[in-house]
Amino acid sequence: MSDEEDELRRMLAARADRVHSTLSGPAIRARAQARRPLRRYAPVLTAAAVLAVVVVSLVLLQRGGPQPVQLPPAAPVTTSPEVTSTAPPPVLTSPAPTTTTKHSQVSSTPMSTTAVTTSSR
Amino acid sequence: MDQSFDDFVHSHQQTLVRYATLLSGGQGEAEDLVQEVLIRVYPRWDTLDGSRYAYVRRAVTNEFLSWRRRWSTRHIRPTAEVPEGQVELGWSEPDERLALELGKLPRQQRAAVVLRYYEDLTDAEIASLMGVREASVRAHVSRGLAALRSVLGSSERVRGRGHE
Repeated sequence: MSDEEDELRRMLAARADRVHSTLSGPAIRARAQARRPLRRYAPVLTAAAVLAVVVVSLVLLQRGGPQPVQLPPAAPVTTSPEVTSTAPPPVLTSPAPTTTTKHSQVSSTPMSTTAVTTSSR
Repeated sequence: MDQSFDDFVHSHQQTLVRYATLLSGGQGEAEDLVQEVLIRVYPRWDTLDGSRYAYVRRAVTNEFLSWRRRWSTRHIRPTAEVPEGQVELGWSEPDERLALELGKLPRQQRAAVVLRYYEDLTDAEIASLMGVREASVRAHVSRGLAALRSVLGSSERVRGRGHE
């Protein structure tokens, strides 16, 4: 066990000795300086974003959702009593031709005038 | 502050990058790891107490173990996936095989093994550094050593062949 551990120590050291890095302090400082403004304001920006989300959520909750728009039906809905109810079909009491056409009115007027003229002679 | 920081980087960057190379498996990723940690440490450099090397080494270890780095380097670690049939490591490069086998270990095990056998830390020091219990450290080291046993055996064979 100890031999294995010593061997592992030796191999790890040999592996590490092959590495030669080239990091420099000034380069790292320059990168840190460039990143600093973003890092400084990041907490404030995050807090502001969270606050905005909370305020908008509260306002929307108080108002409720948008009112549903009631659109008129695209076609007349036929509620046929034959299908939905067991009651007998409605009886039509009024005469069907309740509206007179223009043709019938014109034809009746000359007849009355003709009758008046014959009676005056 | 700047002079102190530059002196520290000049004195310790080699040691830190070597340690990080054993953790990460490659020098490029190790330099990136150490540089990222130093960039983050620099703004509060003057407020650091105690051994700055120990602090930065702990930060490098934590960064290596962090979920963020694991996520960001998930797709740029092709070295561990090299098929063995095409790699001509041979018996003359046991440390290359060691690097390969180290790369296969889980990160916690790898960190524990490197801290134990490269940095020569005690179990208590490793536990404090990694934020785990000593029993966990012993388990990590034991399992890691067992996984590396084949490499260690091959190294012994190489040495034996060299003596003949």
